[in-house]
Amino acid sequence: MNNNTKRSRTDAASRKVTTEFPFRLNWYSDLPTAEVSLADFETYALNRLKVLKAIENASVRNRNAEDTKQIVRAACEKYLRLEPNHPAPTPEDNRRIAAQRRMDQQSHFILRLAFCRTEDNRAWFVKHETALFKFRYDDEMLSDREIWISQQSLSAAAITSQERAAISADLTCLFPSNFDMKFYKVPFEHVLSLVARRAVVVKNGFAYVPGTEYSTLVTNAFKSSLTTQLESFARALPRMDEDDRLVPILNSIARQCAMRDYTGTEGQNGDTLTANDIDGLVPQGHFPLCMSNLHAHLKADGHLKHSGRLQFGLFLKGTGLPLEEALVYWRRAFNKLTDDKFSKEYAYNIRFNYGKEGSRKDYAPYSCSKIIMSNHPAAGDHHGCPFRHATPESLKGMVLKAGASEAAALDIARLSKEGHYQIACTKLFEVTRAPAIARARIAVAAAASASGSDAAAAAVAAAVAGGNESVNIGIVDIIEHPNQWFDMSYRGTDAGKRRGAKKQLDQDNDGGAAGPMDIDR
Amino acid sequence: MFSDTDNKDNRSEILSQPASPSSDNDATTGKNKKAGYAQPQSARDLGNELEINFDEDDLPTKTATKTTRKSFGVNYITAAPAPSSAPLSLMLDSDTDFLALLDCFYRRLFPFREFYRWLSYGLVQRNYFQNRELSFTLASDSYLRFQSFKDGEELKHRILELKPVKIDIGAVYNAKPKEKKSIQEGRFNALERELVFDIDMTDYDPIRGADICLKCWDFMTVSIKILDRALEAEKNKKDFHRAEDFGFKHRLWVYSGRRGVHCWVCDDRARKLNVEARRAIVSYLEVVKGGDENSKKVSLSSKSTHPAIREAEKILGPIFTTRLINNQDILTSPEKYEKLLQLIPDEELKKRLRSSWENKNKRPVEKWSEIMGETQALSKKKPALAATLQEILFNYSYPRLDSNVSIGLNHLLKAPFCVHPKTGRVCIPIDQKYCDSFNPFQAPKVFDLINEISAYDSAHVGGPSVPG
Ligand code: SF4
Repeated sequence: MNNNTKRSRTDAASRKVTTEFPFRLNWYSDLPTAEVSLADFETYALNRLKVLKAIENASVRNRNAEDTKQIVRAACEKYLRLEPNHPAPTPEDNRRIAAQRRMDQQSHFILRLAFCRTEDNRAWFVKHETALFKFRYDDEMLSDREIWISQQSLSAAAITSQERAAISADLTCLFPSNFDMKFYKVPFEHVLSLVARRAVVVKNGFAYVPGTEYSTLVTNAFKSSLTTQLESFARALPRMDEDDRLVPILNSIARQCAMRDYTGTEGQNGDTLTANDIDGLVPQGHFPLCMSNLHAHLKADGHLKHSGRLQFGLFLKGTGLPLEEALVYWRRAFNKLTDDKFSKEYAYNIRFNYGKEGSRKDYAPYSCSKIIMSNHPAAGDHHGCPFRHATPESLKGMVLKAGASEAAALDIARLSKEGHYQIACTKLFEVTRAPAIARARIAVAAAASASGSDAAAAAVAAAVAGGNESVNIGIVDIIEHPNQWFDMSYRGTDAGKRRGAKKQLDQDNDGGAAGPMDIDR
Repeated sequence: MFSDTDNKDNRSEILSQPASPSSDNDATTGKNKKAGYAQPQSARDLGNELEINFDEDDLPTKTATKTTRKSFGVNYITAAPAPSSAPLSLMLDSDTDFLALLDCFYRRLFPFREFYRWLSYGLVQRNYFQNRELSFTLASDSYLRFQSFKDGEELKHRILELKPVKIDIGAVYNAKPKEKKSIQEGRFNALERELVFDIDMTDYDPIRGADICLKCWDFMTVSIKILDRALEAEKNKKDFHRAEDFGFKHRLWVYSGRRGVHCWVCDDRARKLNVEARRAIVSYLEVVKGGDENSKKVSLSSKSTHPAIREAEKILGPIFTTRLINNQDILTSPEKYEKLLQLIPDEELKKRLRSSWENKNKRPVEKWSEIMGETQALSKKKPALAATLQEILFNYSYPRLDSNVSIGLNHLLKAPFCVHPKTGRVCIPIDQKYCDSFNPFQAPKVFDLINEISAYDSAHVGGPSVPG
């Protein structure tokens, strides 16, 4: 009897949950009510994080839509399974489905807590949660999706024929054959991505969204509601900090995802560059194209515009150039200025980069995605990523100058044309830098075996053999950060040999996964 | 460059001073437009901090402020106001004491009441004026950010005291900007700001002729027309199909004092737009994109046309063929037209045009109609050419925006009715309906205004009341 009541109670609970989550899609506007154990808390969060990371990976590698779908689907199956509604569910099904959906909701909210505290984290979370939502939305069964949508407060009604007549000239202009298209009228703020691409007719503050873009409408609404909610979470957070059981877990979750961070605080790696070193590093190929391009313009013009100074200056900081040296370097580079003008107008900027002025924040060098996505260079600017922002002709010139063969240059041109900027950059690294690195390793190995350091020699031999041919260092990680290029190139070859080669070895011993911090064991 | 020629002309005439330090500087940083003062793109990252790095344009002229020439006083009263006697130049006559002029300008002319009324927006929202950032550039080169004021009186008082050579308007924050220091970092945030646009001739350097003159103003006139149309609201209910894109009613266009225009969109909805929305609007309006590495800056679809592009084309077409093509040296020398030919994605056609243009007597208009005829004829066979004409047109005449100024909430923009420290011209509003007839060379100069006041004073009150 006891058993029976227990069962019926869980049945009731499961029914309650299925009514609580009648659909797979979730707007996450209601807070979870069920309790979670501390152990589950972390597992749920990490599982969801794996899915979001998979999405990120797919987008960094510029997979096409179909591949991306496959990747996301596989990750979801594994870590965040969500079954669709069954036509005739057994209580067992219901229980399982309810549990899945509850976990989906809970894990979402745990990550919210973990990611709401800094603006960068919030942006990362929103971006990838939105992508996950979009994937699920597109994947949902049509009937369920329509019922779900109708229950959300999305006020987008299709326009009437009258309204349509009034703007038909404009509609036809943008959509030459639009007879069987539906249009939805929403405030333009709701579909900014479409406005930005001029993919919608905008009239008197309203955007007329074609039916084909309806999912954009829904996804954007999801995104903006998530953004607002995260911000209010962030405001509420100081109160939660008191719950000291959660804080360490949340911190560790957020850290799990933190992308490799090139803060480049001086001396971090125990070695620093000097102002005299910089110009010599460029011809050796230690700078990625975006930076060697800025460097070339800096040399030619004796000046760089603000965004260029930021991009290049922070990169130099990341290479380990200390503030004093940076001041010397920039002073020399801006050779047309008087000392007075320099110290008045530019020295501040440089100290600022190093967190010595203003809000004293230690600014991190820009990552590729930041360089590629934000702040499109305007006339006279040289910042940005050449793979993204240069003309095919000038890109080709730069690529050849960097030492790529004609064939490789063609390949790279194609990759950038297709929008695979970072892959193009990685390719350039492979063809121009990898041979030098491999040679350097062999040299180190030779030296090491001469001095009897067998472990090191073995490691090198393994590294080289692993590549199958003598000038291959194996698969290079996708370049995600200009300083990653620098680190791989500089620390991997002669120039960095004195200080860096030993580290590279140790890293390789670790399967190459170790960050620069793990080096001095 | 604009300022070089100007500086030199002016000085050799007036001061017979061969070269000036500021024209030297122009050569290196003059192009470095808005680099720092308007807050960098990543103002957010920079924690809203000030960055002292002025644009040359916006620096007070050293010669203007530091060389005191003749003593003031009677001088400008007796000197007959002769606004048009000077050569066509936008530069300030150096032999004036700019600060004394400014003092008088602020005391007698600056519209403080209207300024306060504008920025308080009917006091509908609490502390809207009090939480607004203003910033001042002083003659001493110092730059005071995060100033804020209780009311118009306090603002006036402070301006009269400091006599800033430039006043910038920033965002409305969640607290009083002057108390920023006492607020925990990260808790002081910009909430609202007008949607602003900044268009400056510097951005047109790659496509305009070397000399500067009224002809270049065509670019600004076109910009006003195109942007104003896109931002405009429904004119009247019955006429719905004439409603324009974004539906903003309150748009103020202002002459920047030198060679550009600013636009302030003040609707409630515009002020509340977040950074994303501003970025989207800018991207919607921006057609000319790309840095120096990118010679093809305009890419338009050949399959369909966005209504905003169609409307812009209606405005650009006539001006391009009747004025720009002749005035801007676009198709004159091979050096110039090679740049244009780069925009044509068809080698054979380029060759044909080149050889036909070897005939030196061909006028630009003829060359243009050749391009038009050829591309149109070919576009049926070669779809790549379908959008080429449009792309050329837009490349040479479509507004070029300084997008960072528009996007960042906490960017600053020079306030209307300031006096440009280099030219001495007042940043007066431009009525967009009559923008065709706006002539920057006739914008009032502070010098002339003060003369008029003095003349009036001496005639009416019996003596100058302006300070010496
Ligand atoms: S992909 Fe990254 S590192 Fe390579 S050029 Fe572009 S921004 Fe620089």
